[in-house]
Amino acid sequence: MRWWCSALLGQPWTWRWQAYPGVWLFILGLGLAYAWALLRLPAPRLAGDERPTSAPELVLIGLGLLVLWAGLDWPVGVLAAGYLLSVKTLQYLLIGYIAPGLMLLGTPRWLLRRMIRGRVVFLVARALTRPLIPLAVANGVLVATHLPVVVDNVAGSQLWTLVLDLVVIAAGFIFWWPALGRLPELHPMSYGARIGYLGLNVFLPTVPASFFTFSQYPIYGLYELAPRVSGISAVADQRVAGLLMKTGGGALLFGTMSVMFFRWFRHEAEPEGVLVPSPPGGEGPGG
Amino acid sequence: MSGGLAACAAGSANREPQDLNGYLLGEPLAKPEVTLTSTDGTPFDFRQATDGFVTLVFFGYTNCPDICPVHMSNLGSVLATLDPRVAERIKVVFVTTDPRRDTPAVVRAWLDHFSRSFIGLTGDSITIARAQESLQLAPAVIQKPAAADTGYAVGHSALVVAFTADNLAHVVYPFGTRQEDWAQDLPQLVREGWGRR
Repeated sequence: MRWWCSALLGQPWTWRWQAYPGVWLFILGLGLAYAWALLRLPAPRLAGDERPTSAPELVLIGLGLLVLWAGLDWPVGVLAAGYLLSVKTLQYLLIGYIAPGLMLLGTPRWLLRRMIRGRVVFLVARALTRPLIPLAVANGVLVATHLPVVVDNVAGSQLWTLVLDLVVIAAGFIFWWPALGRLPELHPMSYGARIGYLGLNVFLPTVPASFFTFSQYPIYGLYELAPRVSGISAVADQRVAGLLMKTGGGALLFGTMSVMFFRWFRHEAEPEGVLVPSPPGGEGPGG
Repeated sequence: MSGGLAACAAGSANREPQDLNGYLLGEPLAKPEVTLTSTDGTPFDFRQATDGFVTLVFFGYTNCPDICPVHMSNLGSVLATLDPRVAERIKVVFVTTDPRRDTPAVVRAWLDHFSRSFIGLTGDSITIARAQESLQLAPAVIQKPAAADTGYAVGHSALVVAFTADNLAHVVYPFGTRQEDWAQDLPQLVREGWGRR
């Protein structure tokens, strides 16, 4: 029984389904924790900037969990762990960008506030959400988890793959906070600064993506020496990974920036006197 | 085997044989005196047809799920990146260890996935086994197929034997040899003076 998707070293890829109960437990645990928070926590006395949990938030958290599950479980999880770098990149987009973003948008403000209620947790959250820290964390994790020495040496270990996956997911939440975070006590930024922050993150991952796209030979022994899947060569797979990282990640961030820009525009265009949420202390992107 | 982000395609002119990424043999191996059948159905005198070329010989089978396609894919990819003057001095020869299933047409179609320049050979099991023995390779072992089932595996050596222009093999390459290793070594094997000493 394998609990978490890791490289099946030396074993040819098979489309036969395999169970990874660790992934199910992880997703189930997150879902149950969210449901418990909504159903079991004493009804909060909502502060002025808080709203009851909304249906869109429930949909977003559900979608986030689904994306997370798709990214971690068979087949994406196993293909990513040991066969195709392009699928690893897809997995990174799913669990490191899309899922955390959806889940952050799906967590109501009152719950976020409860999650950082403890003094230590609050201090850690404040430190991690300082401007530039999320930029450094997200890109540091992106680079560290793509170093050949890391990829080639931990892929066969379920435990290490689990640890790396959790680090990527956590980095995803930290990454999105400056853009989607909705607590005024945790370094909120203006719309312009949020757009600039996301713009920086469009260009920084271009560096590793360029290595993938333009390297003449495969960077990772793991994917180069893995039994071939669907006849795609290791170099072609690597180029697809580079393009995916650049275009997939870029499209995601540009899409978010566009939404943010139009919200900003709408916010600025509102006549004075109309109650419009403002990013620094108010509603911000994603409501 | 070396790794890293940067890859050097040309190799270094100053590298010594001991810098090769493969395993240097204490005693070089002679090319086997063997005639097999090429994928166009004609006899292939191995020694004569590869005389003076750097010749990379690998024994495998087309249904192989892992080692064979990876070796062939890596060699095909690297040869496409080399200076054509170097690449044209190199012959890659694939000898099937599963002649029952690997007909000349099957071998040709399979090799064409990697490179149309690769030479595919088949023959009777005894001749193929003799060729392996002459190269000190463990002879291939066909696992017993279930009745009426052709889905069997073939255990075989994972080494690529590299002959230089002197028609001797001084170095062999195990599974795990990376493309950048080949890219460093092949130009050196072509330039190497073993064949001119």
